[in-house]
Amino acid sequence: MIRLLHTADWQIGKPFGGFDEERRAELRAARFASVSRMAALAAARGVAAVLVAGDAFDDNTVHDRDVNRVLDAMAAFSGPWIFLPGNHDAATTGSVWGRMRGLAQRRGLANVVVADEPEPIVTCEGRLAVLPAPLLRRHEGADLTQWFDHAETPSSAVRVGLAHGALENRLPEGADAGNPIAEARATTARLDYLALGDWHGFLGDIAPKTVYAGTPEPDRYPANEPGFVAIVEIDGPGEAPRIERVAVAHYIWAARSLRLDGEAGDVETLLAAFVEPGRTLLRLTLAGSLPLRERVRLEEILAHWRDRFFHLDIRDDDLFDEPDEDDLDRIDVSGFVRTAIETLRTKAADPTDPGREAARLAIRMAYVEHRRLTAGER
Amino acid sequence: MYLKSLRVSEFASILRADLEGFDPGLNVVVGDNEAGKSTLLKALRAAFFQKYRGRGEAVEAFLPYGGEGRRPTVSVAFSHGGADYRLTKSFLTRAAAELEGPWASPIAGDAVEEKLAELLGFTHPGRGDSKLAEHQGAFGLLWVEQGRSNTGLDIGAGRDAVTASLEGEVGTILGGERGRSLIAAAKGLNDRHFTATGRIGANAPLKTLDDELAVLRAELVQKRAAHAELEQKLKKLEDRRRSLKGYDEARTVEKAEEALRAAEAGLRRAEERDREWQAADTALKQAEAVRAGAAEALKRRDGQAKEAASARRAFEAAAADFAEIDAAARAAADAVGVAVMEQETARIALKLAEARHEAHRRRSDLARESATRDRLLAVVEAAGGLSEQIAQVGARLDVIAIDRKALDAIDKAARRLRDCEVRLQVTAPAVTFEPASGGSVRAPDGSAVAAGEPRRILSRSRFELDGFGAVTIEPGGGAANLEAELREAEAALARLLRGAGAASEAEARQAFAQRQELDAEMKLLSARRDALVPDGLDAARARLRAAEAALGRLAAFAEDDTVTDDAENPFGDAAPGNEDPSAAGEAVSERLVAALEAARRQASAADRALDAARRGSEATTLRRVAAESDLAHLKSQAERLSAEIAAAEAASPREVLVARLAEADIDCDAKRGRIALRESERGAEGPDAAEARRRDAEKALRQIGETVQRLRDETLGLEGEVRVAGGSGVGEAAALLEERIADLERRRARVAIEADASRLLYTTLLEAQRAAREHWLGPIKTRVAPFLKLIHPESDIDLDEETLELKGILRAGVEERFERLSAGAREQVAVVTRLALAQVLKQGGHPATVILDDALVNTDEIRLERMHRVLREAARELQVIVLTCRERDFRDLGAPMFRL
Repeated sequence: MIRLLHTADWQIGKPFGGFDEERRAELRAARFASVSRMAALAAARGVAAVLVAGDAFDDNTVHDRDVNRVLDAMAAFSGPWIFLPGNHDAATTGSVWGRMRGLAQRRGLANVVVADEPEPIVTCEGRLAVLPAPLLRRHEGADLTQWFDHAETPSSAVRVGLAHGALENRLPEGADAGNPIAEARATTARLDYLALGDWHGFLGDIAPKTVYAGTPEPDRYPANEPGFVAIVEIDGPGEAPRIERVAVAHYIWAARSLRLDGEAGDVETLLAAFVEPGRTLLRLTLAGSLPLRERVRLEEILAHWRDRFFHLDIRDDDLFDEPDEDDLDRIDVSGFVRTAIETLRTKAADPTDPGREAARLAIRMAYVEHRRLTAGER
Repeated sequence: MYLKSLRVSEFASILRADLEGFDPGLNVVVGDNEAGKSTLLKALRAAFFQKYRGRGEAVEAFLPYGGEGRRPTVSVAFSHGGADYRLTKSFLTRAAAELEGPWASPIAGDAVEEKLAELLGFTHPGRGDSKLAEHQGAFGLLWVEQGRSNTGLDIGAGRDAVTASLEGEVGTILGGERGRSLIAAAKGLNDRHFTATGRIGANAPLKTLDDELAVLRAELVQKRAAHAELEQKLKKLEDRRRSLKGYDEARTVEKAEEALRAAEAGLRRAEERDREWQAADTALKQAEAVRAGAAEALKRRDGQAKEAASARRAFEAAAADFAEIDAAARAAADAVGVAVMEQETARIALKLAEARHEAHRRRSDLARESATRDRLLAVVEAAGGLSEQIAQVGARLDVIAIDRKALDAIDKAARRLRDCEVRLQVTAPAVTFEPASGGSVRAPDGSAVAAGEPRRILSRSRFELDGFGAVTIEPGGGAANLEAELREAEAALARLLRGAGAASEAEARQAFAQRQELDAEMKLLSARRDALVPDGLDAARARLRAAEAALGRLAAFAEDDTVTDDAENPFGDAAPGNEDPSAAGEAVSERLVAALEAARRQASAADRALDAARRGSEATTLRRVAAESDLAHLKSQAERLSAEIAAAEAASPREVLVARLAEADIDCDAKRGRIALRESERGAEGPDAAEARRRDAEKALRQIGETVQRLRDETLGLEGEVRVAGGSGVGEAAALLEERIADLERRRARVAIEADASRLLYTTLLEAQRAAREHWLGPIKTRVAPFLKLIHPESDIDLDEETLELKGILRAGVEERFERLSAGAREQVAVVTRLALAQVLKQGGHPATVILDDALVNTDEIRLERMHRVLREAARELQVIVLTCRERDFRDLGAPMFRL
């Protein structure tokens, strides 16, 4: 029996530019931490090798410092780490892999294996034969795994494919298909296991003996399930693999949509449902319409939770203010203010008016200011 | 609200005043000057607006003069909102406040102040009382102090009260207090984003975002450029590596080296062939040279033979010619000898003829002269001793035949003679005889010739050589001629000397010198005799002397002639001394002249013949010399050539030369054949072509080597650069910037909408307010109109919509600015406007008692009358209290009168 840890898409060096300085630093640090956790996990579970199925680095120009941090984080597991160049870190001239080899050599690390040639790597005393399909360019176009079909490996070795790209006809629409992989590759190449990367979510049963491990530490608001690694056990050549999904992520990236119709209370309910908002990044897309008083309430709710979540990304482009009579009664205005509000309402309601969004916001501002002034009077 | 009563005690100038039972309508308070009307108003203000515990200058002023320990107290009863109140305040001394109202017990202390503010709608100043006027709300407007009635409304803080009051009137048109607050808030929002001129403010969030965006974009451009540069380098590096690999795989360098080696071997072969060809070429050239030498030798030999033959022929021809010319020359020389002899003969004959002719002439002369002398002597003898002396001198002088001319002629002849001698000496051949010992030579004259001495031969001479015979030497043509010339010159000189009576040239010169001396003496004697005998005898004497001189001369010649005649007289038959000089002499003379002429002709002919003969001889001699020279030259040439050819033949006969040439021809042909063979070998690949091929191969190798080296260098350089740039995180930095820019742009869009919204809100509010204001002055004007109509018919007031200040009035359509109205008109307009505003305020629920302190002092009686009507009209709704010092002005008003 041989046990492997299959991971991919670490995307070390991802910049997280949409976040403020503090969160950016934390998110970046989290990626190194996940490597440490994986190393610890690999050591704890006694795996024979770690397979990294591409995109360990976000870019080929990643800082040497970051490469060093990765090597540091890998320290807990001294067995072989087999890295496959993916589309982000393709084995082009001057790629990160040359530098990583150099840095590993300098440290005297023999367990860092860069699979940048399409030829079998036999390791673990001949028990494991890895067939890598390294990307030499960002987009290859052709199926690089084709050679697996005719590759000769020792009969006693477990035959494992290592590739980065899109498994044909198996991924959802819209997945990047720049580097296609035949869906039946595991079968045609007589593989015991095909370790894939590129798809950031964990896909354990996408095809026979074929698994996307996904990224161990999510880096985007997903429509899939990131944050896992696969622990794979194969009893011997030709035996079916046993695949275990193990969570390793620290941050929870969540995306939610909510439609609000006249009432903001659902938002409170939704936000309160998160168990660990402190390590949750939530993208909340709001749609619908709210009267002004509810809109103000919504802002209050969000202001509260914004501080409690690690990051709260509110998309309210489709959420509209709809001041009703009640609002206007609350505004309790008469005279020219009411005239002005009416003017703005007309403007906001006119779909041809380019200033309607500003008008909508202006009404809300008037409302908020008015409420503030009224509160001051009381 | 209206005031019901007012009690004032110990307040400034008022010790005590009680005004009870004010009418809710019009009231008049009369007081003389200094009675305290204005103090009354001040006390009223103090009661309502001055905090009872207040201190400070304003409060101190409440004390009466010298009122230490006094207690200024004001008590006012008023009705407000249907309830009755009594307010009492004491200041400074035991300060206290109390307010009775519709409640169980009066409230006192600070609560009073708060209650008052609430009731009357004003705010207390925060600290101190300096801004009291601004805080008393509408009362500033309504309680008009003395002397201020005509300065406008001075509406101040009352404005808000007025507008607030008006809101009730105009209903929803105005936004009220909150509307204004909202505008202020909206302005605040707007000002966050925009400047007063509508530009984006320097500290506006948009500006900050834009600045940040600009920085990020610039940075992004930089990073992208760096990234692009890196990409380019990587691409270049990859390209170089591929190229290098291509070179390695194709073994390009090794192949080039092999090609060079092959080319070098080819070159060596070609050079070898070239050397062989060159050797053959050299051999051919040598053979050709040998052949050319043989041909040349043969040609030269033939030429020599030809030349020798022609030289011999020329010599023979020349010898024949010379013989001819030589014979001719001899003949010519003989002819000259004959001519010379003939000339000699002719000359001798001529000389003889001349001598005879001369002798004959002298004899005739002598005879004639003797006769003349004889005749003259007779005359002269008659003269004295002087004449004798003269005669003696003359005789001596006459003896000397020489004169200057003769001397010159002698000179010339002598020079010519010497000249001839010299030339003859030069021209004449010199012969030196050197006989063997014992031998001797005798000259033609028979004299012995000295041995070893050169001897000039002037004419054909024959020398007797002992033991040999005779040698005749004949000088060339020139010498013979010169000798003749010499002889002629000698003869001429001798003739002249003879003529001059001198034996030699020196003698002639001596004679000439002597003659000169005698001449001098003669001249002296003649002069002396002329002095003695100055008559005509002189001529006779001169003639005598001349005759005697001639006679003497003739006599001298006559002696010579005698000799000559004796020897060679052809007319020996005639005796000259015996003949008649006149008859016989004439015939003889003619004969002699004819003979002389004949002799001369013969001599001249002989001269010419000689001359011709000489010229002929000279020409032939010259020709002969030339021919002789030619002959000698040709002879030597012929001999030399014939000697040369003989020598050459002896060395190598002509047959040998011919054989050699034939041999050389054969050798050349053989060599040519060999070189043709080498040439064809060489043509296959010459050394030049081989060298070019080698150079090409070398160049190609060098080029390839350089290319490969360059590729290696470039690869190394690029690897270094890429190593540095590769780990710089430039891709990450660019991605980060892109994401940050996207994020900022999102934020900017949001802020931009916020900015737009705040501006929109503010401008919309302002716009709405402006529209509302169009309406809100209406009610005020409506209320003013009826009052104004009473005092200034057909006029309308113009109020500032912001400040509500009076701007002016419109009378019959003409706008008159308030400050330019008369003082009376100003106070009237101000009062009626105040009354109208008070009505507005009252309607708004504000306390609205109007107090006018001497407010109509500038109003004329007619208008005052009208003002009374206005006041009465206003007092229907308002409490109006008129404070005046002129009771009679308001007597007719029918209002309650209060006196101070």
